[in-house]
Amino acid sequence: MNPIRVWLAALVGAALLGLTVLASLSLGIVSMTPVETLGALFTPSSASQRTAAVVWTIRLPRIIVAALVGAALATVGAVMQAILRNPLAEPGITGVSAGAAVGAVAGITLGVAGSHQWGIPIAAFVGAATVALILLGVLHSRKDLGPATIILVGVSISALAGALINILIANAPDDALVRSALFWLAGDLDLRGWDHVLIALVPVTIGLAYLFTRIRALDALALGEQIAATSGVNVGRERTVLLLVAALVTGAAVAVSGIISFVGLVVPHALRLIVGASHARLLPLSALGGALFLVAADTVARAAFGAVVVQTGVVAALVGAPVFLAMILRRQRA
Amino acid sequence: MSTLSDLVLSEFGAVRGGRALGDPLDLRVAPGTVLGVVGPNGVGKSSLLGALAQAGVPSFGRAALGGRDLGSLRARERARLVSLLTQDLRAPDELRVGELVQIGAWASRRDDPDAAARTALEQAGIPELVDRRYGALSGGQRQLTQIARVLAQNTPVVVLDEPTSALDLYHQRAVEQTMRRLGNDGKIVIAALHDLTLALNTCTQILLLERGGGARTGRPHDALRPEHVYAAYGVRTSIHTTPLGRSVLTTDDV
Repeated sequence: MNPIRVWLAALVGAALLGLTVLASLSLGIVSMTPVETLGALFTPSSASQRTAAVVWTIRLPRIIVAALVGAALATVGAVMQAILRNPLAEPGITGVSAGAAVGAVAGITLGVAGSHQWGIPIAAFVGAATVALILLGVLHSRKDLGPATIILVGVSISALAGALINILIANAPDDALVRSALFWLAGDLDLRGWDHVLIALVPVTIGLAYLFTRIRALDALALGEQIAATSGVNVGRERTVLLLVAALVTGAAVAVSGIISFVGLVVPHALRLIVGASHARLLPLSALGGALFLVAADTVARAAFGAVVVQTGVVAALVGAPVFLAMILRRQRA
Repeated sequence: MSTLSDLVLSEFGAVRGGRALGDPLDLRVAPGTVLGVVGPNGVGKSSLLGALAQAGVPSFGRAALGGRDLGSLRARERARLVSLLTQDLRAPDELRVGELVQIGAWASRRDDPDAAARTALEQAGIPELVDRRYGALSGGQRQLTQIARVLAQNTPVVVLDEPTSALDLYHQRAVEQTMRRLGNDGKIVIAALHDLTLALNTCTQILLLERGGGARTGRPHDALRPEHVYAAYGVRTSIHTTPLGRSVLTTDDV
């Protein structure tokens, strides 16, 4: 792979992310010029109190949450596709997102989470961590499970979670709670503040940093378990740790964003076409691309539809689904 | 003569579905040996190779190289000793051939993975593919790419599962020559083969696995005598010799 092309992709991605963040800070019900936005961002004391508050209290934490979640989901998507040797693998394939959803919906509909601002993210994270522990138990007790079986384990967990969510929603005490739960399930970044940044920042950063150190193992695992095992990878341990870290990163991300699909699928696929499949390039650029994708989707969700309510996850799927379809068909023809 | 780098199998075998595949094997393989593992479908050739390479296939008994039990070594240490070509040739479509081959060089911690990969691609006869996408390759080119990955790993034991199954005549001959060259270089080559003519002409030793679980070892012309082949495969065969001295195994039934 031509290194100039890779650096160019990284530079263009970083520049686009910068521009998208600037646009996202400037656009919305309170609209600002880029100069006003930059002034409020870097010298808030000299900007008007209202502008500074919009930038620092409302928009910036939301953008950081979107960037963290996008980076996490896209990177984990690339990791899952390598470990499970399945191009359709995405962060939620092990059932961890469904676990987070059970936690969040339970927290919302049973009213236990609403009383505290950290309540829903923590309930969601507990759900995700529970699934991660179940997964760990399964992988620990049956070290011979292949990728296809792991995917089927995820399918079972997701089905079970779906059933629990339906019970919780059907028995919610009032409609407002149902609406709130449905919003969470659609991936909504409304009202995300610095608390949410704090919740996601540490696990996502540590998790991604760990995943970036495993690029050689991921390259080998993508060739199959037997080749990985004879290429210096302790397959059982490596796969268990990678799946666990991936599950926890996904759990931390989904806990603050709700269910956001397609980022983990579209971004790594698109990037493979540009920079190839070597994980040394794919993982960092997936993080960058995922952040860019979700910040852009969130900006559109927040600013493009006026009074019409559209969640970030909905925009991600609205854009992601046709792009993904076009990409698959194009690749098939190639 | 045995040396410190012999591969020694003691009461060794692969396990599938919780059951031992075949009788326990006792075998000593000296450096320079090209061992052909042959036998009918389902007899456990690939499983034996996977078990021997410690590639995650369950096994019983002991496989040791130079006295070191391969099963108790760390994966990173073992990757310097044993490399494996599997029949599963799948890899990400967007991976470049050179990058895939480098995985072999990384596995054994070669000093210059890029140079090692290029040399291996030349040895495999496909240097021109270095920048090609894996997804754009034919089945045969994929097999050669994976063979180059194994060559780049440069281990004393090279395990090849059906290395010529997807190859045309020209590349079959090239792989045959590569296997002989590896043997001449003092490596131990263990290859599962369906093509008994290839086995006769390339291998220095044969392990013929039989359906009942038994195994026969010996020099190619002894192990693959028509009565032994009949016992293993249920097919009557003859061995002919071409004017250039090459052996050809044909079936007698029309």
